Amino acid sequence: MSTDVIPPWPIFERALQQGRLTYQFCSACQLAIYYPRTLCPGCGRTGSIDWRESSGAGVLYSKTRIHSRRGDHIVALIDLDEGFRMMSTLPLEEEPDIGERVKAVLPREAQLGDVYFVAEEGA
Amino acid sequence: MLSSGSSAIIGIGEAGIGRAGEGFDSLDLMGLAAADAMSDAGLAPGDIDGLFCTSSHYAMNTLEAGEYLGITPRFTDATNIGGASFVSHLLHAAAAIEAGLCRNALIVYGSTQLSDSGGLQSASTLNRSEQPFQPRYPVSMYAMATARHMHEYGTTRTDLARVAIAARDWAQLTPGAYRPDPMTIEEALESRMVSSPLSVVDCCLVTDGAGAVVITDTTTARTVRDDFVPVLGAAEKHWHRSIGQMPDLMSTAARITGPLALERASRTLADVDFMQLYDAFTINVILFLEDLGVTPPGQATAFIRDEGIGPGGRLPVNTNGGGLAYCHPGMYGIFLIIEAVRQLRGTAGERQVPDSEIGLIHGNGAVLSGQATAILGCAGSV
Repeated sequence: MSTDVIPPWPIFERALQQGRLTYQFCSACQLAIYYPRTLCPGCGRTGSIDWRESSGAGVLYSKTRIHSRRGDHIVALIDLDEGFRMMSTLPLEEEPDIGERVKAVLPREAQLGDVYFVAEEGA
Repeated sequence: MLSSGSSAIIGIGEAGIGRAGEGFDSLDLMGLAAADAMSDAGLAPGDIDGLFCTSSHYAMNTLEAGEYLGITPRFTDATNIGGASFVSHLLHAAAAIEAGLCRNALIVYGSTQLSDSGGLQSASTLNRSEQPFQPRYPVSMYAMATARHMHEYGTTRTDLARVAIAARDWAQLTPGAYRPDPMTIEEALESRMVSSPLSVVDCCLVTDGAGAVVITDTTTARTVRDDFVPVLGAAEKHWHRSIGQMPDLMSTAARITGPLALERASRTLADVDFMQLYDAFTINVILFLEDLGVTPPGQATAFIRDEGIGPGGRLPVNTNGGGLAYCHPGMYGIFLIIEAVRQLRGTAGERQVPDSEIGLIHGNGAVLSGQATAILGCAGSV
């Protein structure tokens, strides 16, 4: 294993803790990549990937409300404007509809599970 | 290139469907199903030289099954693409037999997951990008496909209920079916929500059960029995593991495997007399009817409502009640094959589809991930 390869997940997680939602971008095939990887799944290159910051804005692709005795919660898929899709959650009290514009909220010192999306106007 | 109809199914077996009873483990059930299938084929463990098995119970499934069953295969395959695996195994077995790598293959699966825990047992782990949000695996993933289908095509919970009711109607005609109780649309709509918009009656059963299938070359099959079932064509494909990586939740890899399996079988959809479609959830049947080309996208619900997939319907689908009403011991794919063979042998009793000559089976695994299709025929097909 070459020593100049930095594991991608810690880079993503560190950025998140600093308040930035990041994704990878392959300059060779112009592909937005999420989740973090060591190669581009489009072209197979390792050296063509760099990190970019997402605006956090996108469209709600789908969602489900999980019913549980411990309390309900929502799981959602969001299509970010930069061209990648991520799983996240929505607040129960003001749940956007599928197809609506949404924006990421990153709490202080966020871990991935702390990230949630709200309707864009309310962000 | 795999030749159409070069191998054929000559034995089927089942055991422990529903609740197996206290004290059995998964290998015990596999033993009973394999004994049933080998007896049906007129073979003994020493005759089996190709072994195909996977499960959520063991890390090295063909090693476990081979040892327990007394099989020492020269071709071994524990491919795991979820519940579709056994349709995938059928393709691999046909290829291995044609290549001369084995002669008599056994595909076997068994699980005591109802008796073990009463809940779905799965060795699955979620991707690091999804685990923190705690989706309920796998229902939440299928629920998001359903919600998107509703958004794009106006699909309703009543449309989903019709799939569940057709399964119950078939199960009423199937001896040993785990949930043959009739159901109304109102009862379905009032059932407990699990992961919206999917309620408990949209989800497959949790049962025990085992199944086994014996395959050999068609030349040998002709000498064994008149009602052998040739594998006319098969195909497999996957393009994601995690739901967040599925490019379009309305588009499964069945769009590839269906046409490819039919092409390999030199058949068209018009030749197909019935379908066994892996119904882990009600949305599966809707998506697969669309992806396999029975209807254009968004129109399977109208087909189900107006033409029918239940007993007496235009296209018989899941003629034993499927995973929604017959059994679902964690992985269902082996039972798609077994029910198709019963129909093609003409031994399906009250639920027999008249003049069944060609059946399409479609396996689904994980979260609309692993997809495999096979076209099965009858002795007159080859």
